Amino acid sequence: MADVVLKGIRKSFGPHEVIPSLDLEIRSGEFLVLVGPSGCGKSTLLRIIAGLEGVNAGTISVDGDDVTGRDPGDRDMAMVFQSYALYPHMTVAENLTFALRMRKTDEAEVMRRLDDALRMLSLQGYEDRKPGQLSGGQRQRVAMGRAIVRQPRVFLFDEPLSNLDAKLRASTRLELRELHDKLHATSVFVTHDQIEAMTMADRIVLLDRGRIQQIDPPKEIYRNPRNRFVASFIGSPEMNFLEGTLEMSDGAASFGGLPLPLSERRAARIAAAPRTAVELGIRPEHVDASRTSGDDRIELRVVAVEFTGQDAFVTGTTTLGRLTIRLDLHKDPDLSDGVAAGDTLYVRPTEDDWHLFDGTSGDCLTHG
Amino acid sequence: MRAGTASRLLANAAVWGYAFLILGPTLWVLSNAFKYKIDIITGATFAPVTWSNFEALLFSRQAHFLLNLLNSAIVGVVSTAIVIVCATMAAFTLTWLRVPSWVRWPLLGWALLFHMLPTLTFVGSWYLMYASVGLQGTYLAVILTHVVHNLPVALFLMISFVGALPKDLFEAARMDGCTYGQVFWRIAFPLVRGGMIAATALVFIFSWSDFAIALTLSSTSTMTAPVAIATFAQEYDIRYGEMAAGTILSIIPALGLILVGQSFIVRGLLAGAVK
Amino acid sequence: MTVSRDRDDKARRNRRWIVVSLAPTIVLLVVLTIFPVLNMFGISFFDVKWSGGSPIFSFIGLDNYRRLFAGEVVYWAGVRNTIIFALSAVTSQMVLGFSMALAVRAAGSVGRTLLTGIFLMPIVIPPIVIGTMWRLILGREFGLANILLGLVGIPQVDWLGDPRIALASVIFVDIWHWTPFVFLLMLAGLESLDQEILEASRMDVTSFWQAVRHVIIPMMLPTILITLMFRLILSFKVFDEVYLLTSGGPGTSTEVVNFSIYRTFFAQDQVGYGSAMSVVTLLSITLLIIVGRGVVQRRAAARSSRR
Repeated sequence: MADVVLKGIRKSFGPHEVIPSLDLEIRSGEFLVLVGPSGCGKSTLLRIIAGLEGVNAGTISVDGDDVTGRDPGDRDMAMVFQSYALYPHMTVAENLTFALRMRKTDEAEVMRRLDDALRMLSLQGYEDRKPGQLSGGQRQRVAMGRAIVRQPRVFLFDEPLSNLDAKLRASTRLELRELHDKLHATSVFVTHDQIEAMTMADRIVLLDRGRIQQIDPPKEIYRNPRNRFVASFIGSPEMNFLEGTLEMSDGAASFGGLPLPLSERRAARIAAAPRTAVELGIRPEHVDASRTSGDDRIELRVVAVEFTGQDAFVTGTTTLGRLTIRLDLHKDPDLSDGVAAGDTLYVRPTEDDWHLFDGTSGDCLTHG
Repeated sequence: MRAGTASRLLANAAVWGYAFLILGPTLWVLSNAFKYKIDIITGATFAPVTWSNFEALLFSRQAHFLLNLLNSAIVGVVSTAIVIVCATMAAFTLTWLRVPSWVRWPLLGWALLFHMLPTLTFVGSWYLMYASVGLQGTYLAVILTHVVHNLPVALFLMISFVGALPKDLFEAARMDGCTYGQVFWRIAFPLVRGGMIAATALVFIFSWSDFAIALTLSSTSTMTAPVAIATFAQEYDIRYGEMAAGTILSIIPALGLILVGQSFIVRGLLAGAVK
Repeated sequence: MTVSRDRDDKARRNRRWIVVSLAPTIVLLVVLTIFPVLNMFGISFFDVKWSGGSPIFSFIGLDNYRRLFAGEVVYWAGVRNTIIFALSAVTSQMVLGFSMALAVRAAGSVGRTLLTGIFLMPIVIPPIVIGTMWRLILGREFGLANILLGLVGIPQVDWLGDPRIALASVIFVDIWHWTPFVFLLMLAGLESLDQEILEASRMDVTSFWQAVRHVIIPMMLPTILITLMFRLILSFKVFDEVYLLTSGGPGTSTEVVNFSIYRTFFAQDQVGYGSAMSVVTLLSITLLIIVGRGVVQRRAAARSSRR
């Protein structure tokens, strides 16, 4: 359990600058997720923390202890690799205790920690097998065990769930988070999957091209994105972005003819917003649909329907552009009879769940 | 691709025809080793089998082929061992560790260039060098020269084998607290054994087969098998039978290696050619 | 305290490892290859006479080189022969080896392991032994070749003694020696080609030869070029077989450069002159390699930029 502070981190690979300048504070005991599209620098950042990559500028400190430039084995951190990196020529027990033996830990202690780990990860009975004889899920647990056994200050995870099949991924997600809580660990977790980020994190760090776009707990990032990038990355299916002109008059706002439900707080915030070159962002789940038209609704011509059982995702065209909405078929019996291509629906955004984005900078004008 | 029976037959005929072209001469030479000289000269295909050639070669009073085979073995084993150890360690460091550019590129570049230059152009200089320190004709001279001659090949081979290991194994080892040396001995070395065997097989064959270096740098007492065989052909009265017998004996290690470690040799050749 | 001391210790051990792991290789290469080259370069400006087992050096400047470029006949015959040898032998091997590999790949072969084993034999047999084998076979009186010819009534051919065909015989032996190697490499290369691309091309081409010319050869080009360079460079090193087959004769018909150098150094004892020869040979081949590499790299760059 320790905090990690990164200040002024700059990293280039030759002429290619991957991280221009980054500051980050990881709080002791938290489960922090680094997420972003490929190439955003999340893995590089993790490896910098681990010491597997050097930095061109900046410092890394753990509990006030400056570890910049220190050998990865001396930072008291453990890493779980995407491919698990288990030593193929060693047994499970040898894999798990390797690091402890390297540090010449007392034999009794080694055995104690080995037993604990085997129990915690349900790997009892597998101690003498080699990695090649294990299933993917078992190998993943050995990789985790290797880190747990070291009782490090910080746990680092480099997309450890990517190689598991979907079902296993879901259950392992829970197990991993439980382990973190039980061990009172500080964990830094890298993933490209925003669902993993949302379900596991205490705080999410969203990166794009080496820059931090937003650091916030999952709920906050979801409800209150800072910019277009964050808004579109988080949430599945993706947020809709519509083009049009903002009109405001007498405390009422509309966007390209679509009236926007407006609270006072919101009204104040967007009062100074530009009227053109703005985008309206609405999540599919924040759209209310009906078969009857209304003043506060616009027309949606249905083009495609995707059933998922409980919901249906309906995509169609409007005067403001293409729109995908989520219909809860049980809530609205009116629509549960089935929506088909060619149908017409009438839609409007739900209260205060829409966002405005500056067309050039991408900043969220309704943020806050 | 397609497989019409006619083309299949043709292809197999071509390839097996070539195989016959390889086996045929070899077997003919083999047969000569067991014939009396008179039968060789008259070209008799079927002739009484005799071991006399081998006896003359190995056990007669003027014979020293047994010594020559032993010398080849000594030089081969020792030089191969040295080469493999040096090459594997260097390959590991060059592949996975940070080495200053002014060391890495000249080293690899010169190794490659040296490998491609004709050995004979160096032999004169080597002879003078060893002569000036009194080492001419010694085992050490031949061994050292074999070592440096085969080092580039072994180095590039091991670089490709070590490079094929997954990078994150080394990173995990470093996170587990290993020094570079520990990473090598505990992780890289156990995992690259197959490659080392392939490289060892090839390097030993190269050393065993060497002629130019042994011809010029060895003395009568350190003469290796290939040089000895060549002497049989120098005389007016060409000793066909013994030449053939010597040939057979010299092929034995190579054939043995093929029977036992064919896959290793092929691995080595392919990896070497890729470089 | 102890922790930071351990860390420094570790850093020191790491540095030491880098030195220890690289030192033997570097020392060996420097002492036994770079030093001799410089040595040889120096000696080439001297005339060396032996007296009582020790060499006596007398400086003669560029005389050795003048002699090499002015009155020397044998060496340059050797250069000519070596070039002819290299080009014809290597081209034949490449064509033959590639064709066989194509045939085997297209039609499938029987007994693959046995075949590979047999094909490995010429590569692992010591070249000097290959020399003795073919010396026996191509021998005028008792060689297998002439025996077989005799069986069908063709008179003896002096394979190794007739200056008109001696070089051809040597080239033949080299082709015999190395075609299997080319075959194995080409086969491995063909098998590593992306099968999907080949299958897709089957719908586009109208004949096997079209596929070969327009799809397979371009895809195999890196492998082919590498094998070609490999073999060419190796063929400039030819010595063992020539030594045993013909010793450079008859006359100068099979004289190759390596043989000239060997003879000058060890049979004629002309160390200074031999050094000059070595230097010239080294520089020429180095130049060839650099130019060759440049050509290959430029072709590869042009190829990838065209895409």
